[in-house]
Amino acid sequence: MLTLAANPADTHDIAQAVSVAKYIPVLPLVSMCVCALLGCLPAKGLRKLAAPVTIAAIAGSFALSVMVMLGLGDVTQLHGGFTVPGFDWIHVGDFAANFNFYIDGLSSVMLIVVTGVGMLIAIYAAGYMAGDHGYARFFAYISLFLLAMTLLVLADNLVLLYLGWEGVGLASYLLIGFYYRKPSAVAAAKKAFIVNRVGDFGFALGIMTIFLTFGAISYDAVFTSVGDRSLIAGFEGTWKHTAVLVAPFLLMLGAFGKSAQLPLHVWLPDAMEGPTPVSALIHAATMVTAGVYMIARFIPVFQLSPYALTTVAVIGGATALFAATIALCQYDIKRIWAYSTCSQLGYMFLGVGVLGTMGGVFHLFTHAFFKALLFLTAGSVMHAMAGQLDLRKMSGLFKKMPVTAVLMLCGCVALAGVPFTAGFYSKDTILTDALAKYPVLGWMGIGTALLTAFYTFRLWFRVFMGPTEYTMGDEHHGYSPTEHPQEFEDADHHDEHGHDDHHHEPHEMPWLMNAPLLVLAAGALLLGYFGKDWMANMIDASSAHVDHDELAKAAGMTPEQHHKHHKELHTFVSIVSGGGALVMIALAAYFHWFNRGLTAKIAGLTRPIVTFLNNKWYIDELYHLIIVTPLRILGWVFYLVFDRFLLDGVIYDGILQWTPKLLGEAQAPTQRGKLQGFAMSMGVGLLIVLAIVAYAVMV
Amino acid sequence: MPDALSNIALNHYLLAGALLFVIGLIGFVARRNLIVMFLCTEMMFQGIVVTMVAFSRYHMNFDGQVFVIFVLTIAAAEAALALGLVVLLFRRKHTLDAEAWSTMKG
Repeated sequence: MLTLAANPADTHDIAQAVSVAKYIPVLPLVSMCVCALLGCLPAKGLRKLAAPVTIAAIAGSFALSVMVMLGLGDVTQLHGGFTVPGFDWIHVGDFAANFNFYIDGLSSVMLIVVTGVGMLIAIYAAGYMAGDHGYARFFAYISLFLLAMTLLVLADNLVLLYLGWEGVGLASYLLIGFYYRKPSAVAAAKKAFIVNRVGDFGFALGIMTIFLTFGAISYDAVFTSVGDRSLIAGFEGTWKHTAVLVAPFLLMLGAFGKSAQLPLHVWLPDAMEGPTPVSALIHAATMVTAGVYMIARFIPVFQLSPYALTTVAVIGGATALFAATIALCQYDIKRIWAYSTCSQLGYMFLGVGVLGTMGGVFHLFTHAFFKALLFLTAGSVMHAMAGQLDLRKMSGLFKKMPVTAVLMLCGCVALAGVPFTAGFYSKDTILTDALAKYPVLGWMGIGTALLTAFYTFRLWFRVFMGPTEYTMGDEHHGYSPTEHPQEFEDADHHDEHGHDDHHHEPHEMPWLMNAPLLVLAAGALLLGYFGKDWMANMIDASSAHVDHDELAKAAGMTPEQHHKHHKELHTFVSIVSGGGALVMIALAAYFHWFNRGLTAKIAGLTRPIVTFLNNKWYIDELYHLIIVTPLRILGWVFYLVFDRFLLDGVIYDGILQWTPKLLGEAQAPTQRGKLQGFAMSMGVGLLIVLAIVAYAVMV
Repeated sequence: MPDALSNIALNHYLLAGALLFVIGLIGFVARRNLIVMFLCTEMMFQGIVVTMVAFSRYHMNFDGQVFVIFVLTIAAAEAALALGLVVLLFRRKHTLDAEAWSTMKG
C-alpha cells in the first residue's frame, strides 16, 4: 500500500470499510446468470422478471459503491489507494496477476458513475425494451457489461484491468448487434469489435512492456517503481529507457480505440445501431470513458515520456473539434449525440493530456449524466415517433411531448456549457488547464465549445420548436415488427403499441421511464457546482493526482503566482465560453427556429462543405480505400494463387487425384480376378513367410 | 496310458499330413470346378488335422486332440455353409466353373 492516512488505526478502519467493494461485481454476475436462465425458460411471462432482477442487482452495487465512497472518509487525508484482497488468479514464475481490487478516489468516483448511471438507465430500459422478444437477453447483456465495467474500474493490476476492458468490449459487441436480424446492426457490431482490436493490440503490448520494464503489473508496484527516481535514472542507456518512453504510447492506443478518438473513432457513430439505452450507458456514459480513466490512472507512467501527454492532448483537442464539425451537419438525432460524445471524449483527453486530470475526470462525471439524459430523451422521441430519428422529418414536438422536451433541454444546456450547469464547470476546468499549457489547444477547445452549443440547440430547436409537423417512422424498436408478429403478441403494452397501428400520435413516456430522467436532469444541472470540490479531493486522493505546485516550481513560478495566473485564466475562460455558449444558442434559435428558410439558403450556397461534413470528412471512405481495399485485393490474390491454383489445382486436382489413380492403373494387371490366382498368391506369400521364418530359425 | 510316438513314427505321420495338404493345394489351384475345389480345401484341412494329432501324441499333450474334435465339428458346419453357397453361385450362373466369377479383374 502506498498510502496513507494520518494514523495507522484509521488506515485499518478504512481498509475494513472499503472491503465491501469485493461484492460490487458479484451482484451483476448473479443477475446475469438469472437473466440468462429466464431467457431460456419456455415460460415467456417470467422474462419480465429480468428487469427487476437487474435493477435490484445494480442498485445493490450502487449502494455498495456509496458505502465504499463513504468508507474512504475524509479523502483530503489520503494519498493513495487501498488494496482489497480477493484471490490468486494467475501465477507464472515472477508474473502474478491476482483478483485484487484497488480502491482510491478515482475508482470510487468511477464506481459511482458506472453503477449510479447504470441503475437509472436500467430502470428506463425496463420500460423502453418492454415488448421486445429479447427482453431477458438484453438485461443479461447489461448485467455482463456492469460486471466487466466494475472489474475494469476496481482492478488492482493491468491484467485484471485488461479482463474488464475486453469484457466491456464483448458486452458492447453483443449489445450493438442486439437486433441481430438487421444486417446494419451486425456490421456495426463487427466494426466496433475490429476497430477496438487495433487499439487493444497496442494496449496488450503496453502491458507486456510495463511488466518487462518494472517486473510487475500491480498498480502499487508500478507506481512505486515510477516514483523511485533513482530507479528511473538507472534505466538511462539501457533498453528499459526506450521501453519507458514507448509504453505510454502503447497504452494510449488502447485508450484511443476504446474512447473513439482519432484515428480510431469510426466505430462509435455506427454503434448507435444498438438499442438506445445501450447507446446511453455504454457508448456515452461509461464504457467509452474507460480510456480517460486509464490515462488518468496511469498519469505517473505517462509523465515519464515527454511527448506522451502532449500527444494525448493534441489527439483529444483535434477529435473534439473534428467530431463537433461533423455533428453540425448530421440529421440523425442519435448520430449527432454520438459525434458529440466523440467530441466530449476529446475534451476529456485534452484535459488529462494537459495534466488536468481533475478536469478530465470531472467532465467524464458530468458528461455521464447529461449525455445519458440526452440519449435517453432521444430514445423517448424515437419511441414516440415509431423509430423516426431524422431531424428533417420532425418539428415542433414540444406540444406533443413537453416533459421530454424539457428534460432534453436540461441535457442540452449542460452540454452547451450554459453558465452554472454541470457541463459549464467541468468544461471550463479543462479549457483553463489547456489554455495554461498549450494556448493553441485551449483556443481550439473554446472554438469547439461554441460549435457544441450551436449543434446542440440546432437539434433541440429543430425537434421541439417551430411549426408542428412530423412523419412517423415505420419501425418498432429498431426492427420491423411485421417480421416477428408472434413475438409481439405477448408484449405487455400491446394495447399501447399494437404492431398493426404504429402510425399513431407522438406521446409522452410513462413515468417509470421519465423518473430516472428526472434524476439525470438534476445531475446535469447541479453536479457541477456541488461536485467540483468533492471531485478535486477525490482525484487528489488517487494515482491521478498531479502536483501542480511542483510543476509550477519547475516552470519557474511560485505556487502563489501559479494560482493567481490560473484563477485569471479561469475567469477569462468562464466568460468567453459561457457567454459564447449563450450567443451560439441565440444564433441557433435564429437559424433553426425563427428563420429556417435562410438556413436552407445558406446550406444551399455552401453545399460542398455541408456534404463534406455530412459524410463525416469521408473518413470511412478513406479507410475503405487505404485499408479495406488493399486487404481485399490481397485476399483475392491469396484466393486465386494459393487456394484456387495451388491447393485446388495443383494439390487436389493434380497430386491427390492423380497419384492414387496412376498407382492403381499400374497395379491393375496383377489383379486377374481368378480364384486360383488369389489362392496361388496366398500360397506363394505363405511360402515366402515360411522361408523367412525357417531362415531365421536355422541361422 | 498309451505310449508316445517315436521320432520315426512321427515323421511318417507328418509326411502323410504334408502330402494330404499339398495334394489339396495343388487340386485347389489346378481344378476349376467349385465343388472339387471345395473338397480340396477339406483335404488341406485334414492334412493339418493329421499333423496336429501326431504332434499331440508325440508330446503326450492331448490339447491338440481336443482341438481336432473342435475343428471337425466346425468343419462340418462350414461344409454345410460352403455347399449352400456353391448352390447359390450355381443358380446365378448355371455353371460350376470358377472362371465365371472373375469380376474382381483389375
